[in-house]
Amino acid sequence: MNMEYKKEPIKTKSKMKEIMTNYFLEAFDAKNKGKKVAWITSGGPVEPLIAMDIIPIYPENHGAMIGASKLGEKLVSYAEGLGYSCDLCSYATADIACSRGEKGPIGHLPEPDMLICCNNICSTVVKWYEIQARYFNVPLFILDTPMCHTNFTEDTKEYVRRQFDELFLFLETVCKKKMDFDRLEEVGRLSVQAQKLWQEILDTTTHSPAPMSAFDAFFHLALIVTLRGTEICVNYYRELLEEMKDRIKNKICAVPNEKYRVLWDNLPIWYKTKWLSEKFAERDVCLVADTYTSAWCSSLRYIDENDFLGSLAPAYTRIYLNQGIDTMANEIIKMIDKYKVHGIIMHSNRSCKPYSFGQYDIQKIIRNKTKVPVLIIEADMLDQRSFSDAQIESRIDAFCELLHS
Amino acid sequence: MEIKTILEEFEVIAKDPVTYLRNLSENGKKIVLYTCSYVPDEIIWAFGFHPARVLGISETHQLSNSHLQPYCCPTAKAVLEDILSKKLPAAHVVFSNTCDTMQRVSDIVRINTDLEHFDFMVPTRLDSDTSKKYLREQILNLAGFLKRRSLLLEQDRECFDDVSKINSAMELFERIYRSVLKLAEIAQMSNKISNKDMHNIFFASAIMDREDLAKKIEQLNDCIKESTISNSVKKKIVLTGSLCCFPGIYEILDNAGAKVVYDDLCSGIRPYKRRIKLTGDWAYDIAKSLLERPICAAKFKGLFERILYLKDIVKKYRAQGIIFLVPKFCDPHLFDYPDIKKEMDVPVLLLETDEKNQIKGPERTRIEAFLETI
Repeated sequence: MNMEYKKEPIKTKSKMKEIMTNYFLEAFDAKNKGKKVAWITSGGPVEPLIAMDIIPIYPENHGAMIGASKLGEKLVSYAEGLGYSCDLCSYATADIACSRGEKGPIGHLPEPDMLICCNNICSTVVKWYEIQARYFNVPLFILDTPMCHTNFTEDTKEYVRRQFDELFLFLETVCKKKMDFDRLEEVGRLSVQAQKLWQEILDTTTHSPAPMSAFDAFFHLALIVTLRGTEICVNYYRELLEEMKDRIKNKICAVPNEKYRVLWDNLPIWYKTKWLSEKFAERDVCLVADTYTSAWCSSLRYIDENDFLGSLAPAYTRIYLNQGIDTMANEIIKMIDKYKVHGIIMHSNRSCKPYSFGQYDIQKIIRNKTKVPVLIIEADMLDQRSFSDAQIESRIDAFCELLHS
Repeated sequence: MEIKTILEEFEVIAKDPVTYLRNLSENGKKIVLYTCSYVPDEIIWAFGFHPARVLGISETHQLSNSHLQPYCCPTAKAVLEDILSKKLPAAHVVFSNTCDTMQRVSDIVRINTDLEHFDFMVPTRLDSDTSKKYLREQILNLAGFLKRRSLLLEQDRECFDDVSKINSAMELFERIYRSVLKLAEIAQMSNKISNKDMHNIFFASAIMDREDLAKKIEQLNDCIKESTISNSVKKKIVLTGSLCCFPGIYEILDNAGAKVVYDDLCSGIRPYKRRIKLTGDWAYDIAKSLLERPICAAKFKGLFERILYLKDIVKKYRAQGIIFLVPKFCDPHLFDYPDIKKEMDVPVLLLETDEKNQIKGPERTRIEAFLETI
């Protein structure tokens, strides 16, 4: 072990647990407090909900909790019994199973008063939310953000902008109160502030050795997803950023013997994050960056802080996943330079088709332009049945040998 | 002309669309490929091109396997294979945002081929004026793309009159829709046209010269009118799902004495359930007709749209069962299946295929057992 650097747990982590507990307690008590609960997709516009005092609940965040608790297989199997194919998105099928009475890590989610679905991350969410809206008998709003294969056109911008007007009207109708646009601008400012802090936190891993790894980012991501647009979120990330700076100063890092810096593509394999983190650390590899957690600050460049309302359409349409695979490959190449990456691991995720299809071509583009080795491992973010320990470990070994050479 | 002769012509094209398109191409037709039934092929026709739908005819996926993972739907792989293998003679391709997989297939084609490429973005939400306005703009964008290319082909540029060419294409296509629907109505009561024949007609229609198609369908309608219509069908089936991934099913149903009274596949009647009414704003008229046609599972038009639509169809045609035919990994339809099955008043059989035109022994037995039980 490199004696100069040491590994220590991230202290702010305990605060995250406290915040998330309070968040869920408040959501479960929403009806008693006269508050509405909205289920919303992870890429959906949460700021208008916060501005309307609606509690946003993220089934995908719940999916991550299910995965981390290793309950994925049980819930997906239950959904299969309801007729949902095991080839469908496991976040969706696990959520459907939980809604129909099977217990998840927190029992079940607080019941929704409405569903808000934005298809900037995938089309699966449209079908998933349609099913849940029928089941809970609640209104559904779909924000349709057409994919920007090669560019973001004016007519797409106008189409999405008009839908935001419809979203505001939808929320006003369900909540029976008017949208406070001044408050929305304020929430927007907090949201931008949180995204900037999140980007700064992720950027601390440009330091070698990195003060945290992508595995830590997967954990600390929860607030930028769920509480973006609140003071709680901004304060948390401010503290986390300070801790990262202190860790760099005090020579505390994720992998003390960090020799190789690797970028992760696609969602985490939630039930194997600890196992993978140990396997990589044993081989002096640190996952210093990933395309998944950085997606929550990827549209910062399209947001005008002084015109948050006017920025909503590009900010929610021009996200990492909602563009052509050549653009995605170029984003990864920029990250290779920025984080001084030696190799890339792509999780070919059976559950997430828009993230995974195109990876073979992205791999070719990266190889041609950078010569950086790319390993593809096939698994599922939630369903343990798709993961083979022995096979993946030997592939990681082969990949590490390539990094050594 | 006899019914049999016309049906044989459709069968030849359905069995070998490649030769048909090559012949067209050799005779000077410029072919524009399109991948989804939401692409308004009348626009492609209007600008002097021949629209040919990529139906995923490839039965092996050697080329597409190096671009798409094993858990990708076989129809998308077959579509990609059709294009990458260059068996279809074309210089242009129009994709649509059908589903997540097809959006990535579009990227893969754009990056890996020399085809001039256009992404025709159909709104996912089809339930609002905002969607209609956006779709109208996409239609105008597609027309712009085609016009720029057609001008290069036109001998006399001054003679190019968009509106009159588009209007006459719309009239031709309206004629096709009406005659195909009429034929389908007759076919579901007639023993003169088998399930397989009707599938061949639907399939070939997306490939054929549209003027020739209109004439042939009208001839067929006239011939059948003159023959006796028998209503002695034993088992009435509604077929639903995406693009047909197992053409062999029609023959199995024919042999079992079952009749597909409504072929709701994307390679069936769905694309023809359009009515074009000319109002003077052709792009609006086309957008309206696309939004009003029966929806694809990948689109949204209300929480119960597809369920109620299928319930109505079952009732109208007195169907005794539904066969849900989908390629494996087809998310939009597989998500729909449990709720549709629950809500229908007749038995529903789910058939998933993981390879083009491959249904193994047990599935064949399931079809036969299903037909026996209804």
